[in-house]
Amino acid sequence: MTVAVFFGCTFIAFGPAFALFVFTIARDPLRVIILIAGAFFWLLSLLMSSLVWFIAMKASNNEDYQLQRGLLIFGVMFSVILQEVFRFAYYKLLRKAMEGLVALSEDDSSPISVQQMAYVAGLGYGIMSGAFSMINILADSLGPGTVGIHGESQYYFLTSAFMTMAITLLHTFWGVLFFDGCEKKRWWMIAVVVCLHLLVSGLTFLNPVYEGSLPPAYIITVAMGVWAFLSSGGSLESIRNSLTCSKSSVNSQVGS
Amino acid sequence: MGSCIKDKFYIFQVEVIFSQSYVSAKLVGLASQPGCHNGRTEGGCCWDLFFPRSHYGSIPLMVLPYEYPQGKLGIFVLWNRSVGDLGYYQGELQGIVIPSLKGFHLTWKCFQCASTGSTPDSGLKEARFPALVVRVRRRVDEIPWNTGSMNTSTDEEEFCNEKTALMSAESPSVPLYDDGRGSQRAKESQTVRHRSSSSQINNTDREDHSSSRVSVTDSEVEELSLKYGAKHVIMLFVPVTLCMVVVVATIKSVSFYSTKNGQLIYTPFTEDTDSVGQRLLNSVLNTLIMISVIVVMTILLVLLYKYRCYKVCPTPFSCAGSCYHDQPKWAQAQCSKATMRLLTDARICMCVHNQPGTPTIPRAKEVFKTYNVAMDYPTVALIIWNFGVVGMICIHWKGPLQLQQAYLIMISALMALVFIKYLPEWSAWVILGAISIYDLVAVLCPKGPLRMLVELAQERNEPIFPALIYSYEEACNNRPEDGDLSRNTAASENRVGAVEELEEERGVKLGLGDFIFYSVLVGKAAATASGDWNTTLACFVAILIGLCLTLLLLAVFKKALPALPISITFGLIFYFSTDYLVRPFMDTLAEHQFYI
Repeated sequence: MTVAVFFGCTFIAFGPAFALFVFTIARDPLRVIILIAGAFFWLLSLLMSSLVWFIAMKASNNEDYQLQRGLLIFGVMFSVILQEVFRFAYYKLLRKAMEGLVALSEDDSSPISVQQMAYVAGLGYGIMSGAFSMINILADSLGPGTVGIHGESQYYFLTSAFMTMAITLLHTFWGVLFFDGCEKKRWWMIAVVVCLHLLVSGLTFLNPVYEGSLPPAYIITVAMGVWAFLSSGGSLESIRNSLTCSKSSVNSQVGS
Repeated sequence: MGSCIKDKFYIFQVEVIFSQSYVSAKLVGLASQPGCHNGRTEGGCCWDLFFPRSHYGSIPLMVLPYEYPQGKLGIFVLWNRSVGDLGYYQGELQGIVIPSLKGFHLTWKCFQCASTGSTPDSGLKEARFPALVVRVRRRVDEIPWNTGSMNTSTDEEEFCNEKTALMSAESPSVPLYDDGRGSQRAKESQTVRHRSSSSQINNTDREDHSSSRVSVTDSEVEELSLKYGAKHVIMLFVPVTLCMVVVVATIKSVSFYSTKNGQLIYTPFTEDTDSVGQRLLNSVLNTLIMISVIVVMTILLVLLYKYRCYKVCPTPFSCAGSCYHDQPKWAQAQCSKATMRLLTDARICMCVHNQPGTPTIPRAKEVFKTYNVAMDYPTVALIIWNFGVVGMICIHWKGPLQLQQAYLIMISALMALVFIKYLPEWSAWVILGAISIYDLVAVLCPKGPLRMLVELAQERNEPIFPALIYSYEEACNNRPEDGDLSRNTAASENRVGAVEELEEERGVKLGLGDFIFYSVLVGKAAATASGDWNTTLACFVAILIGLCLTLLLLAVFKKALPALPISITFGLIFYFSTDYLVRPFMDTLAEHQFYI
């Protein structure tokens, strides 16, 4: 519960997202707007799903612990599905917006491509999801207290931070894959994304047995990252080119 | 654009500056190309405007139409006489198409020929220069059409939405015409309105009287303004975010602002009552009193502005809200260029205090108390005095732009903190809702006070008081010493130095009242939502999205829009739903460490 814990957990949870924002998004106003709109859509989905859960909870017996836990699991699953539905709605909205941007631009091309929009939208989802999961915990970690005083795990803050980072990156990759699947009409990709989201959320039901939730989540994160990279056109050669040919591309710009 | 071809006609947006006996024109942009700087086009080509028998780069004063005021942008038709080695071109002035102030009339004057004219009613007219025909059009949705042309209005709209290609570099073959058939061709062009505007420029010699048709349509201006829309949105996001961050940080750290300690005189009814109904009634009454004070203040402000009491106005009413879109000056003839909506601060005694300085004294005291900083009175007096005086100078006179913006943000944050502290809970929410509705009514209704203020400012071609508006760019005109005496001194005080990039003059301005009420909403969420950060974050995102939507509507409709309703509505919805619905859900999830 020290300042070190606060800063450590903040940087773990939000470091990659913040770095991605600063290096890829902050310069371009259009991407910032798409990011915030993505965050808004995630918020809307959360609102609807918590409305459903709230109604179910109030309508049921408060004392029955098993029932409440069951309702919570149902709430989580419903929320995941609703998030993906809103992601699809956001995809439709961005497609429409892109047509408008193309019509307005001088040279008949959009200032931003669908893959970039997918990445930014996914990052928006991830940042908002991570923020909502983590900010209250971070605020509490600044205050006094003992972690796990009633016998729970001592590593609450740390595991929360790692899980938040995984979820943020996962949302980014899922955004890329989801939009790619929508663009190329590969519905199996969308189904896989939804199933993996449900899987990752389901694995967190095993908490506090963190071995069951964190390592699989990270394995899935790495796998999604590789898949998203490959599906947006990357390959080993492109990595090699970007590392070695960066000097020559700079030279060619200077010369022209 | 690579290079400018000799003996071709080019169309520029030019801003005219008066100086003694001659007039110089500053190149604003190539009308087909946004993004030009002074005297330069995008490709780095420099242009110099000249008129035979005059200075290079200047126009004899007697040549301009007498009603051409300083600073207006006109469409200048230049004939490129030379190609320079370093891309420096000289354009001989052929004629000017000038949008006039009132009534969306477009007038034009040609120098080599006697062609003049105007477009009073119908939308499409041609200005004919010796070898060039410029078609000028009025915007569809602004002007009431006379009944005869009602059927064509839909065509105009389609035309308006098409992308216009203004000029091309090729030299197509356009048939020769003589002046006799010109009017016939004009009639033809009026009927074939919906064809796509591919315009071509003929680069044959002008003595051949060959014609080219170049369309200068208003949709091009729409394109330009919409193209810059994302940048403007971000330039408003940043100060709004900063203001909210300052308010939330203060609320969370200095406990003074979360403790209830009395009420404003404008909300005399207390909320410590027993029954819910009584509390609701009290809050509604508080709201009514507050809104009526605001209405009275606004009307007073409008009257003062109308009768030109500029010296009185800015001082008491330093909190106002507005949102308008500044079009490029040459497009003034079309849609309402600058429209303002004003929302006045109801707290009269704070008005005096609202000069930067006085409200910081109690705040500074609280901050010192919180952080246990030892401070003596002389130091505080010196610091606060300097702070206040620099703020006054910066806002009401001249100063660096960033400093002015920083002061405006600080003032807004301080006012928001005052409101958060002294407004009782339910009254605050009801007041926020009522202010949005009042804002909507005052700006959009024809007799609304804010709309009248907007129209007055537009007629006089002035911006409204600098202390009430946040803008991200300075006014870019240098007022000349021998300027028109009828321009009031307040307007000249509003200019805060020159900016080189004239295209940034197309800016969006947001009033301080908007900053204040956004920050009140977010601050209230931070102060009273059970210590929950999710609510604050949700309200923050909701307000930003509302602002984004408002700016989108502004870009589409191009008239004054109230900035409060959409954002405050979203903010209120998200506050209550997040506080009552999402918070239990997220708390339960965090308790079990489930992740969604």
